[in-house]
Amino acid sequence: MQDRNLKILIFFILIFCASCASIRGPRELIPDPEEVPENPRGCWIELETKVDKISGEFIGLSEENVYVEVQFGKKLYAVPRDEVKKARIVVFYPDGTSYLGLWTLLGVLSTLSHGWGLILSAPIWLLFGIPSMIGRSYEPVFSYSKKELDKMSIYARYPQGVPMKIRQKATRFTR
Amino acid sequence: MKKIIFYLFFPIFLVVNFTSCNLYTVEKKIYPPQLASQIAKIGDKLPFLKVHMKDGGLYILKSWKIDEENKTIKGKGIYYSIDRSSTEEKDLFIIDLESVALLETNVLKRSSAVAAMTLVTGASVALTVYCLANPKACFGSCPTFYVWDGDSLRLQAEGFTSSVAPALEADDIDALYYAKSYNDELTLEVRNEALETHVIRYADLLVVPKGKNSRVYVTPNGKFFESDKILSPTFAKASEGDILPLILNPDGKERFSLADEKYLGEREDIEIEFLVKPGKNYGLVIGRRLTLLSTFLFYQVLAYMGNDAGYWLAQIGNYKNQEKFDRFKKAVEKFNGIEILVHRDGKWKSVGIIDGEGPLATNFNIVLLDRVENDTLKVKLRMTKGAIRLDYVALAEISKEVEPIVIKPYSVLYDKKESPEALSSLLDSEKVLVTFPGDVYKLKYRLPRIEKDKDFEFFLKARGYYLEWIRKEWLEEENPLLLAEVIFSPEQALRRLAPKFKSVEAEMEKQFWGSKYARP
Repeated sequence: MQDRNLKILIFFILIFCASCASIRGPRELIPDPEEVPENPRGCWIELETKVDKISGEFIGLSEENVYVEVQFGKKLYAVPRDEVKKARIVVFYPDGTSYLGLWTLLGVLSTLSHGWGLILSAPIWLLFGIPSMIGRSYEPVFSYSKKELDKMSIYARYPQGVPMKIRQKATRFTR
Repeated sequence: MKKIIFYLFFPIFLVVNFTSCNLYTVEKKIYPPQLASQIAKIGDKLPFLKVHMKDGGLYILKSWKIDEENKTIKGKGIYYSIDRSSTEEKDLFIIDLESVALLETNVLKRSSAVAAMTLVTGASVALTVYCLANPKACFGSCPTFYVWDGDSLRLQAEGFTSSVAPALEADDIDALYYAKSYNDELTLEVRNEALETHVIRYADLLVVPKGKNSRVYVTPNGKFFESDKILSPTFAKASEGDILPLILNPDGKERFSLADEKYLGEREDIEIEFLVKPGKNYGLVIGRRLTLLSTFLFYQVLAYMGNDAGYWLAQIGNYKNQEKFDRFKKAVEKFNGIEILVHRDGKWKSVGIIDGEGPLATNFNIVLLDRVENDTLKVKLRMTKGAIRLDYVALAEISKEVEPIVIKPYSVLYDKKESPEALSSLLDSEKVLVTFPGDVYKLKYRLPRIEKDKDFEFFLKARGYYLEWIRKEWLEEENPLLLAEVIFSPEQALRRLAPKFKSVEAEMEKQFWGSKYARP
């Protein structure tokens, strides 16, 4: 394969990687899939409100609020449901997208051994490889509209509802 | 071969192994304590159970058991306080189900991304193994010429297919049957898509002005004839039966047969009939290309030559061997060609042979027939079984012989940039344009002005030769004795090689032609 073609191939893979879900949370606060069963905390949440954005540990829901503990200062905020436009939950860190990219790249290169067949097999690698990368990045990500907020309670630190003792520590989120 | 497998697949193996063993997704579920019995049934598959208490506390149990009788959960694990600030680890917690708010399970599952990739990897490795085991089924072609057909770039010609050595450098005229010009220009894209070195002396465009409803065809010896009346056959029969629908139109739907099981040189006949006007001059138009049988044999001969392929190919130019070579060349032409016979006075009379050309692009030629005396013309096409893919057969009523206008390229682009050196190589007959695998050149031609009611028929006239790269896998088959058998006793070789070809024939076609790219 010529250098130019290899560059084009890598360029395409990188371009499609840009379609992968971007996780804005800090790596150390989002567990790997294997750590989720032992993690006592809620999932990472990114809330978009009418005026601002807030992200942190998803503490839970009440009838009026969505509770989020931000990383900086471990401050707990109560975000009024009416203010929420949409929410995004990240259950675990989607590791492995880079390995899938490498897998795809090596797969495409391996089609050099297919002769004429590579005209078919190389695009097939890309057709499966790139969506697999994008799909993998979205596997732990769940998006909810304002009306669907109740569905995300299972990802909270308190899926049973936020205890009163905790609620009392919360500050109303306004900016 | 082992090295190729190692270098190519060892990294893939490592990545696949690592990725597939480490890519998990999590399925999270919440159960009310009343459904604890359901979790108990699948308890073996759940290494951890989260027990959310009504007061907000949390137990994460490692090994656990639900005691339905006493309505408790017993297990070893960690207790987290309401605000998760303190923990307590115990070998045995006994939790009253009454104080439990929810039970949470998190099941690790293999990522679906891995499943899709594993599927492709399996198919791809299978194809690679097949290609390594049958290297003659993969790779290969001569210089390929792509031309705009009004919709997309289409493979329309293979240059100097038979010129496999410098001594065989030759002119080659191919019809660009589907070519369409744009803005009084025509662009040819010349690609080197095989493991070969291509040496192109020139690539001229031949244009023939013609009527809007006419077509111009070229004979095997380079004469051009215009026809404004094309007749379709009324009957076409091969050993398998009626093949008329397959040869009526130049549409890529081809008639082909499989090679004989015992003798690769076995011949077969196709009978075709036309309704004609007595007293008119006709030419038989045939659109065809080769199957991979000849490619297999060519590569097999190169494999037998092995490390000495250079020496053997150089012998082709040695005048001392000219007689032997001419004999061999004739045998090859007969093997790859289509002999045309016309039924006249109760006998079949041979009127010419059309060479098979290459296996990629369908090539269209005309063979002139004598003046027809009856209203039915019966024609027989005789060819090697399994060697030809027949796309189109028609009868052209000859209007006149025409002369093409020769046009040289005015610009050559390589990598989207003007390449004066490449252009100079194609314009100067003392120079050659040498291309290597992956090279793509765009050759631009300016068309002459013609009357509005006229159109152009396009042909490519190219001269050059190409050098096949000997694949490492082939060297394992180096065998001067079997090479001698091919040269001095080709019939015997065609018998001996029959089982070998038959064992790969079906898969070879499937692999080689599996791509749309290869089908014009």
